[in-house]
This record gives sequence, structure tokens and C-alpha cells, in this order.
Amino acid sequence: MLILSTALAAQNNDEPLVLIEIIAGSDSIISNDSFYVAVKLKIKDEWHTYWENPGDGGLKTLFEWTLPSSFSISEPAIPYPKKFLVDDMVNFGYEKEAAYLFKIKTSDVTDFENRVEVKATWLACKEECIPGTSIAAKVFYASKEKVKTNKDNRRIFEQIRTMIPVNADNIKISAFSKNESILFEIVPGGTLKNFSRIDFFPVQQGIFSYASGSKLLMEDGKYLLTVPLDPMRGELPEELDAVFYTPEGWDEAGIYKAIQQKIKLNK
Amino acid sequence: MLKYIFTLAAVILFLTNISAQIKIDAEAPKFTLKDSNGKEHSLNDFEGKYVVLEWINFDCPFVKKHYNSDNMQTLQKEYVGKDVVWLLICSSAEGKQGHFSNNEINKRLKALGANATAYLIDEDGKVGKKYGAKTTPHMFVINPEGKLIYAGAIDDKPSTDVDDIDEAVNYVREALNASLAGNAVKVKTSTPYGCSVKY
Repeated sequence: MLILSTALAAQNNDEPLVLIEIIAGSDSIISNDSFYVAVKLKIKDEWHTYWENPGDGGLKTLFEWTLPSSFSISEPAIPYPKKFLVDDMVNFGYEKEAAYLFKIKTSDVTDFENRVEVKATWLACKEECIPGTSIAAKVFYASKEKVKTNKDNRRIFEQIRTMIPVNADNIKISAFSKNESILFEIVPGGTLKNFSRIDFFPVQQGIFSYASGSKLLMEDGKYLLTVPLDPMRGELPEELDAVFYTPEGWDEAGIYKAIQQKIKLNK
Repeated sequence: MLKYIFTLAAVILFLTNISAQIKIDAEAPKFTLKDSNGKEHSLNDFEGKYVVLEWINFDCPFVKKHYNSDNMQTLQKEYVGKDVVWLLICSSAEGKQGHFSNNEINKRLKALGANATAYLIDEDGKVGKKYGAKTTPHMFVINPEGKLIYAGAIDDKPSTDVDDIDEAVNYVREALNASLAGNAVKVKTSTPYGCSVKY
């Protein structure tokens, strides 16, 4: 059975815009171990929350944890977003739900009950935007032996992981600054697939013009993706951090739809 | 063999015309708009003065952050007192959030204690798109020669939390202070944060 946390939403509305829950493979933990938890946002229909780079407006979701002293937690692994065209501008974010993955490490666990709490600070927008916070908590019980994640929960985590961009070393991406654009040369690993499109999501803000359109070509076994720069950008960075999404998937089985790479920029 | 594939974003290209008519240290685009009292204002009217453009939507939580804390009114008062022209511009289309009747605008300005020179109405969004205004707030500073010297966020703390204001570096204040003192503006552009402009 899936272990779900209690969830509270700091909202006055009858139906909260965003509810969160903590999902874990098991509620038993041992000392000197590590395991993953997911924080799942359930977003009210027609509303959306924002990715790390929100695009032309909006605000990313932040997480603040309260943990027992024997616990530490990683930065989140962030699911890939989708594009929203709002009033002629492009936003990057999530609708309906989004699950962020965190890795918890334990040191010497002395208490039997170990309560963790997470507060998510989010901005949800439809036409109007409303900021808010949601809180979820979960208790983990100290055990002498590690309890394996059951099959159902493993499947849920596998599904969540497919939404997290992977760093696929076999896919070679180069970036070149060219005529107020950045040209990405993408050489997929394995058999060259016919991608219908590649969506580009820059992690860094203020570099690209999101609404100005990108162009994709396939040539000599590689994809050439041209993304226009924002005319009001500052100095270009040495390295670009970006997510590339294709509905056909980057792996042979088509499971992993998004990759994330830090790419040296050839100026 | 060359194969063309157009992304969804390429389609967007034909739907929008936001941005790209402005450049830092180049002449700011001219405009003429009516204010909330029906009076026309042109950028030309303010030749020889510093002009601040502040894109506004009263109901945006980021705008509320800076007005509920009195941050924006204080800035406006300080610089209008130094002969700077401070223009609020609302590009919300009719029927969209932030679009109000003149009476309602004036009522809200009074309630907030705004100290701006005028509230300009850009309901067809033409001026907003000329300037590439994306968010509320989105700030622009024009020098007495009519050149754009700053474009971007009001400060370096993108949040809706009033408590962040005290620790924030206010880019508009930095740009105005530097330029008024005859110094170069250090941060000329930044990524604006806020609600999308409701074109």
C-alpha cells in the first residue's frame, strides 16, 4: 500500500488550488541509509504552477523541510515542465500534478518516531495569479532491518522518475552563438529517431526569447535546433543549462521524454 | 537531405509580437496614451527629464507586494520629488484582470496613496508590446536624452513576500541614483518577475 501523508493547504478557498502529499516507498527506516521521497503537487483544474524557470512570468515552487536531526535531504530533482501560452507569452510549468523527488539520508536514528514536514511555497495562475503555501507531513518509524519497497510503490516511483529529465551522456549536444540565436547540435545516441519536435526549456532565466519561436532541422544524422536570444539579455554565460523534451522519447523504448545537460557555449 | 520540422514555438512566432523594439542605450520608443483622467501624455512631453515606466495590474500579487508594503509609493515619492516623471502603464485588455474603469482606477490610486505622475491606459497593448513589457511590475528608466538606461525587474528578489523587500537590491533606485549622480548604470537589464501582462 502506498504511504501518503496528511496534507494541509493554507488557503481560504473551499477547494485548495494546490494540495501536496509526501509519497514514500515505506514508512520504516534504518540508521545510515538513504531513500527517496516524492512531494506530489495536486493542482486544481485549469490552474498551473511553475517550473524552475517560470518563463515570461510566474514564480518557481520552493520547498522547505523540517527534519529530525538524524535526517538530511537533497535538493529536489525537478520534473520537466510543459509550455503554456498565456496572453501571448510563454510560461513553463505544470497542470493537474507534478512530483518532485528528494533523497533523504539518515545518520544514527535514535528515536522510534521520526516526523518530517515539508512546506511548499507556490504561485498558481489561471488568468489571475494566487500565491500560497501547502504543508504535508509524514512519520517514519525506526526499524532494525531495512524494509524493501513493495512492487506497487516501485512502479509509482518508476513512473515519477520518467518525468525527471535524465543526463544522457550518449546524447551529444553542442551550442553555438550565431546571429542573435543559439544553435544546438544534437546527436542522439543509438538509432536516429524521427522526432516530431524538440521543446527547449532553459533553466537560466533572461537569455532566450521564449515567444519568438525556435526552428528544428534534421541533417546528416543530427538535429539542429535554433533558439532566438532575448534582445534584452545580459552577457551570455559560459555554460547553458537546459532541458530538451521530445514526445517520442530519447531512449529506444521512448520512456524518457526529457534530458537535461549543461552545455559549454561556443561564442 | 534537409528536413524541416517546426516546433510548437514556431507557431507561437506568428501569434505574438512582444518585445524587440527596445535596446539599452538606444532611443526609447515614443508613445502617446490617455491617463485615468482622460488627459493625453506623450513621451515627448517629458524631454529633458528622467522618466520611469512601471507596468501595473492592481490585482497581481507581485504588484500588491510592492504597494501593500508602501515600497512603490515611497520610491515614487522620492524620485518624483527629484523631478523624475513616473508613469504607471496598464496594458490589461478589456475584460482581462487589471482592466478597470477610470473611476475605479482613481479610487484605487487614492486608496493606495500612489505618488506617480499619471496612470496611463494601454488597453490595446501596443505600447506594452513595443517595450516588450512581460510582467507586472516591469520597470523601464529613460534618461533626459530619451535613451533607455534600465529595463527589467524592480529588484533582485523574485517573490510575493513583503519580507524580502528590505534585503532586496532595488535596481530602479540604483539606476536612477547612478545616473542622477552622473555615473554609469551598473545593472542595465535584469529578468523581470511578476504576473504576465494580460494583453
